[in-house]
Amino acid sequence: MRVLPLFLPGIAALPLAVGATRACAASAQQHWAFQSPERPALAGKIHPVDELLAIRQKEKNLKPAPDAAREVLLRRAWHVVTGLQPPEALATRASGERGEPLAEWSAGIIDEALSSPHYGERWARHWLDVARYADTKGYAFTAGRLFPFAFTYRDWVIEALNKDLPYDEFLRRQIAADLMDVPVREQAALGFLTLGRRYLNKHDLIIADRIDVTFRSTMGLTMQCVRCHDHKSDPLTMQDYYGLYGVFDSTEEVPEGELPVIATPEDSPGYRAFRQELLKRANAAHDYAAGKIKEYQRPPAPLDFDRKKALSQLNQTERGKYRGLLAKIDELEGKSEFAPVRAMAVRDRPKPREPVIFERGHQSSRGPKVPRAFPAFFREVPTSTFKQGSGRLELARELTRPGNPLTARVCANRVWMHVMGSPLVNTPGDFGLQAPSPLHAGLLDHLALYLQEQDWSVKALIRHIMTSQAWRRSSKAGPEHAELDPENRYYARSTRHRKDLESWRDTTLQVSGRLDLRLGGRPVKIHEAPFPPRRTVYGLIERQNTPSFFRIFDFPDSSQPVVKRVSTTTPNQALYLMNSPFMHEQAKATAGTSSGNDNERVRVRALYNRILKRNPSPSELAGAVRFLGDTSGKQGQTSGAWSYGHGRLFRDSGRVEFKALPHYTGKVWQGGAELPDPETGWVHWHSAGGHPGHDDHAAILRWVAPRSTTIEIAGELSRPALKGDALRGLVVARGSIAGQWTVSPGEKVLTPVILEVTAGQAIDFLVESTGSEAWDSFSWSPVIHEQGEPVPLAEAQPGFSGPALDRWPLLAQVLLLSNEFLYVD
Amino acid sequence: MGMAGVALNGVPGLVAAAEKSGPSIGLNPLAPRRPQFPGKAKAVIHLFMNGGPSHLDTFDPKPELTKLHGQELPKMLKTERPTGAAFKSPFEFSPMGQSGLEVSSLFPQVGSMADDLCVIRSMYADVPNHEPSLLLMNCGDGRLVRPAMGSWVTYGLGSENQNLPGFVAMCPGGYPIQETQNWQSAFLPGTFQGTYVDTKHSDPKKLVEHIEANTAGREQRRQLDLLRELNENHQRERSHDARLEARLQSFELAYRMQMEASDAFDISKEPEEIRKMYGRGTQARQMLITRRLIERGVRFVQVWHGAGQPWDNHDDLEKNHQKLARECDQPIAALLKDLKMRGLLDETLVMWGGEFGRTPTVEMPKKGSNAGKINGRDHNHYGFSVWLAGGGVKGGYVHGATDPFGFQAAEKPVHVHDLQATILHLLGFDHEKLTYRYSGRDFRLTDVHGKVVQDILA
Repeated sequence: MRVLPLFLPGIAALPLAVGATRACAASAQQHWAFQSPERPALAGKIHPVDELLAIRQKEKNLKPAPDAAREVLLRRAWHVVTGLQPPEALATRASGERGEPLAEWSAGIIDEALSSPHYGERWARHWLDVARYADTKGYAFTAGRLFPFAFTYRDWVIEALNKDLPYDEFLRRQIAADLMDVPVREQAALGFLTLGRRYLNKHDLIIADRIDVTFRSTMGLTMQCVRCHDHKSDPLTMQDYYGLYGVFDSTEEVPEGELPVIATPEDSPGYRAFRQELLKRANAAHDYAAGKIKEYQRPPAPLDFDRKKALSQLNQTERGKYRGLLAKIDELEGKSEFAPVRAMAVRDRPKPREPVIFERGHQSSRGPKVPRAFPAFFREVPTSTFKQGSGRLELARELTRPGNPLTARVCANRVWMHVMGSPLVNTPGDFGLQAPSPLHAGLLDHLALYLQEQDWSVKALIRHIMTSQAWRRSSKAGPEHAELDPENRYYARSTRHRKDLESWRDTTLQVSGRLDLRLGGRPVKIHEAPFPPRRTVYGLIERQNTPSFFRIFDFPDSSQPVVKRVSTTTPNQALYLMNSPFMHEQAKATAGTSSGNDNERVRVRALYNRILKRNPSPSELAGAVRFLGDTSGKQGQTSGAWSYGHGRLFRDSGRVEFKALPHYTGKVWQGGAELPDPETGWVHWHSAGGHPGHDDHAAILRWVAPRSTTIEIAGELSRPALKGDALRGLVVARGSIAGQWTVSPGEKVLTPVILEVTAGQAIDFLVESTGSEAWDSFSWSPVIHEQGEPVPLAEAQPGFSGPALDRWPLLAQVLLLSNEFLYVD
Repeated sequence: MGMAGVALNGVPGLVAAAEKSGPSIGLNPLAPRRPQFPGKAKAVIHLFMNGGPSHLDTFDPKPELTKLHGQELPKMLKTERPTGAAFKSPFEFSPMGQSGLEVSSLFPQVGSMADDLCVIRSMYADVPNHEPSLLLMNCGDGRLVRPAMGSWVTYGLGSENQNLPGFVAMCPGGYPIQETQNWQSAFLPGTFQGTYVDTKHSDPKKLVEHIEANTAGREQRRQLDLLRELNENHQRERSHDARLEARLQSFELAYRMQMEASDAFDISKEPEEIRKMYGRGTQARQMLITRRLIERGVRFVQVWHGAGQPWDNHDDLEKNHQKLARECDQPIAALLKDLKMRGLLDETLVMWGGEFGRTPTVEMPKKGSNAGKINGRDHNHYGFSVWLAGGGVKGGYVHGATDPFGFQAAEKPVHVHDLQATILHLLGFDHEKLTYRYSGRDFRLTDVHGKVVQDILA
């Protein structure tokens, strides 16, 4: 608190915040969350969680729901702990061990899940939301946006959770690993500080972000407002804020070239190729600088850069270009799997900086000096300030000291939320005076103390909650539950979990058999074809233009800490689930897993078991069979606007006989599995062209106009081989030839056509051989524009597509979209 | 985009937090909601001339500047780049309509709607840089990550059409500077984020993601029927969970959206005379789409002139402004006329402007900053113009003034926050009360600033 004489002349003119802070300091002394957790009295006959919940349930006259079935508990346990479906082996055990009492059986299942390395992946993502993790910097004008080694922080979090690093140590390393006696590789933890948004390098905002993430994630305190004025309700002052500002201002990022290497790749051809490319890129930057700066001195080793110096000698445009070249180096170092892996570390500045208050948050209005220190209200020793360097290690210790009333509570609340589906304190990111005492205050204290007594073991806390009867209850609400406690604040039943982005995508891939279960590594663009099958936690997180795939599934904004995600149900999600190539790919693969069964009913059962882990009911089986049998809505050949066929043109009538090519290899449409096909010969189409067949087997590409308009077709028909004879290309529409060209060996022609078309009308592109079809491979990828429009209406090459979904994938897709799959009881 | 339900992990924690301070967003975040008091406007169209159009060459005539052309101005303000002598507008201004509101020869057709325009000539912002000024105009804060105005408005009012996004941001050819941050929802739920549409495409199916069914229509209907059967069985044993029904509904909504969205973006369905009225080209297309969206109940449409910063004419101002205005003059005028014809202008607030204006002095050569032609203007946040039309503002009206040379807002200055407060007022919100509780604090579009500009209210 700022010290003010009590009776100042003209006190009325003082900023309101000061008065408010004084008032709030008094109520802060009483605030429940600022008191040490108190051990609740326990009779000890049942699990403490159940005993403490029962107090409130009795007040409300709520009868707890019965236990859930073992299959349900198994699925729930794996969902909560790993975000995956349980392995097959365990599923069999669930039905095989009915004899074992439920509590013991359940504890065994939980232990198994907790010892899976996939636990770390699931729970790391929870923490990464809070740590506002992203792989890119956010908006930057010319500088490269990728943080080359953000993933080392993500992987550190996964590993730390998997080995159950005590939570207090987990926090300390993320703030001060470089100042602690730990191996260098542990400095990856410092990504917690360095991975925030860059705000176009505005120093005060970068520090604001670091203060915010540190306090919100650990103590549930909101320091954001204290940048400009004392907190309106919490005992936090500008003096506190700038005391912390000094800590982070006395800390600097290790420059990119000097980041500590935490793993070096072995020598391999790939590594040598990487080194060569790296040197090439470094030399390109030196060449540029040497061309612009007089007396530019190339360093003896090309990878030693003095970036700052070079930048200071260039003008604005040149700086942009130079930065672009540097970004190419960083990009390679970040993206190549052969690059040495580094920690995005910080270090203390050689000399700590003495902070001053920036009045109203303006850097230019420098107010009084303040010491680097922990927020006064929460200090262990009221008069102590930071003495060692920047003070970061002291900060980390204060955050995690045993008497800190908030850190364990905030953690316990979050763990409860992820296990039980809703938090005990409804504002898990704010434990300040605006957070009312929770309904189950005693339970929260119990959990906070339990965590500390178990040497801050998060796994132990999860296990403790999950071994309660409360966790094992059925999620089916009876009428009285719905009436007395619609939001389930009393936990008399279980809260049904909606799969979040990660668990939805991961289990979908698991069901389709494609999920890649390897741990760790560089991020991949999971939202783009070819849809890498890695777990979602390894997806590249783009902070600035977060792909809509993430946002529509409620992935949080990575500009600021998010402790609790919003969960929406929107048609955009439905559109993705219904129409995206990703889903179609999974539906096909899922259907493929059951394709060994000839019997339709057996195959339906196999699909149900694969996706929903149960047999279909008789009526469901009948429904599926009906669905499979109805062919009235038979699809076209492909999923796209173009179809691929063969046939002939009747020149007297202008009619085109079009027969769809029946076989698709994954790249080529053709007559059968092998070429030449006994009937149709060599005729085939691929994305850029194809080959005609013999006699009446012209290759035909067909496009159907979506609406009535005037179109301009552009294209080039080329027959590259020098051997053989000419071929002929034709464009035929509405019974007449709109264009035809003969192309001799080794030649090519442009094929422009302007046409009026009506909606639904077919335009055929025929290629016939003249004489022999030998060597008649051609390329032809027409592009169709509406007249006067700059962007094409259709393009043959990018529009090339394989077969439409057949019926089995359509059925598999329905099961993947079902609530039974998307929710966990 | 359109929405069925927000169920917050089954426990309305965040909803509850939001309820305390803002509107209750309940199970369906895009359901239409009443404002705090009856507003004149129901929808907003923001025509964003990104890069900073020159007020001196469009809506703020300065005869004094013409007189002093080539000479030093009596008072210079600090500009981002060096600027030199007074630089008169190469364009003629004439009084238009009954009101005699003066519009330059750049916008003859928009000028023909002068009696509907409310020009604010005394706008000002905080800094002369694009990034912070764009964010200030769109999100109310130049530096931090905050929800866009369109997000606030859809958060406050929901949307009238559940089969379309409530907030659409169109920009042909790519993103403006600061990219999607201009229409982000930040800490507001993702539902309120602007849906980006690249209007360079003419194929309506390409405009909304995954709107095109890869599965033939009948087949998909059969899939959804089977899905409904499955979900109803599932729900039978799980009553009292509204989320399950919401999910079921979301598929039906999506199914309808496939048709409605494609239809809304398909301007080929417009009669020939309407298409003629808007003219040809990208600007015409996006203005016509805008009208189709507004007509269908979309709450907030933001239309950007183009990727990057097209109006940022540090060089060749005359040529470039001429070209840009020619692209959008007819389409914008057509949009106003069309809305008026349909009786939609009264309840639709149209806003035209950039992130700031331009200097009355000529920009001096600076390597790396301009081409050194000495015929352009630098950024000017001290004073600039925007105009509003419809939605409860006075028509044929000029509010405030810049100094005699157009450098700085001089009479009745209007800060960007004041403009935002006024827009929210027109929609029926007290800008100080449309808030969202996040990180222990009630946030609002105007931060701790903003005053409604009473003078311009009709």
